[in-house]
Amino acid sequence: MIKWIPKYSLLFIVCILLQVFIFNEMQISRYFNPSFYLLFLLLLPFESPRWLLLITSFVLGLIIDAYANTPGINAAATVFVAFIRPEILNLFSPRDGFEPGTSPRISYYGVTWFFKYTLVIVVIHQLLLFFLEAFTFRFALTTISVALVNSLLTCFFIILSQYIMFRK
Amino acid sequence: MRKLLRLLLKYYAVFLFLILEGTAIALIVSQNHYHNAVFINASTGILGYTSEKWSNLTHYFSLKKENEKLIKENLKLHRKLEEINYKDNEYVPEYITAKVVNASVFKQKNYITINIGEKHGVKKQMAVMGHTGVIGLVENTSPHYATVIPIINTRFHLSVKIKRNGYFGSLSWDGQSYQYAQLNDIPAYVDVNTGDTILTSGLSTSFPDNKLVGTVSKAKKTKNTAFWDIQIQLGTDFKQLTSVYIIKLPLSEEQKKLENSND
Repeated sequence: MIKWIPKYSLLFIVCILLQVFIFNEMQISRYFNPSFYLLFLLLLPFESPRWLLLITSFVLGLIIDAYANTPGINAAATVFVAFIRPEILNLFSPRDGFEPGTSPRISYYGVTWFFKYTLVIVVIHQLLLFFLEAFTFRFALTTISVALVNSLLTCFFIILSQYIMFRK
Repeated sequence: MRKLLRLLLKYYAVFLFLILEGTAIALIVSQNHYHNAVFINASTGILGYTSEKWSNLTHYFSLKKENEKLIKENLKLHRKLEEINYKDNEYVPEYITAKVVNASVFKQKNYITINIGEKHGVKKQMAVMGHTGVIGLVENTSPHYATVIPIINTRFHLSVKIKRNGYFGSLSWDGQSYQYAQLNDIPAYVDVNTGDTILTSGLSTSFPDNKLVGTVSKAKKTKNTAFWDIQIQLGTDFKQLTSVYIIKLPLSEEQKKLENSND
């Protein structure tokens, strides 16, 4: 357990820096606003206790919110997906469960498995995020399409990052 | 008691989830009150600092364009100054320049952070102007930074008028495109054409009158109401903002005090 702390603290900081100074700065369109920082939540080990998932994702969301001037929106969406992450992992678990000592990564379970797992979490997160931001069901179709396009982008960048920098 | 404790322990994740989610939702909802953006206020200082360091870097890339804009703006100001000199009015609005250190355009509730604050005399509700049109109002201040609520925030409303005939309306934003805003409350019998210039009305304690807001880009009469449905092309390009002006109206405090004493 303890040996994970420095590694995941670093991941936490890198996720925030990349999100705040790269992805938030690229203001290209409403359809380009990926929530890359979800990578942190996705990669946490299987054994992570639920309180850890919830609290780290709350803090992560709040920091992202603070930089984006959107009080609470990212925090709410991220806490929700942190809450349902164990259920989603159950849904995708192999027949005899996850092997002890592994974490949800491409190197252990393959890119198809990782993509499916990422996609489900990211889509739920993005739908929540953009509906909370709009705070109305007017323009619902636009909101849904913005959420879906951004989900795909988020998945793309998260999986890409797995091949570039967070390999182990 | 013991049962309750055991229940709490068993479902602690659910309770923790509810508490954190509740806090987050409370934050979202609290920002709907105009003066209650405490969250932004508290974080303005620290975040402004890091954002400024970053934008110092990116400012270099737009320096040339910015210079051209400033030269044009200076020229305009010189002309204005002469106009004012001739009028011999003692309460001349005061301009302060500020640099944009953080801005968003693709959200529903966009904000701009600028690099001057209370120490430079910035107060809440002061008007913010760009080189080519109105930007918004100061919402929160810290000693060295301030956040601005721009036209492109769904909570922003502003009283404006049509230059050609002087009719008043209310400007708001529907959250769709950062280039367009909506003008409401113009009665259908008023003559409105596309291309008409929209100016601030002066019916506000923050904005001087006759400041450019934008031009009418689309106008149609709605079927069931007696009002126009007007789309305004905003004069300010919110995506290109790098520096802005804060306007200090010398008499606005006095006006506010007087108006408040009426209630």
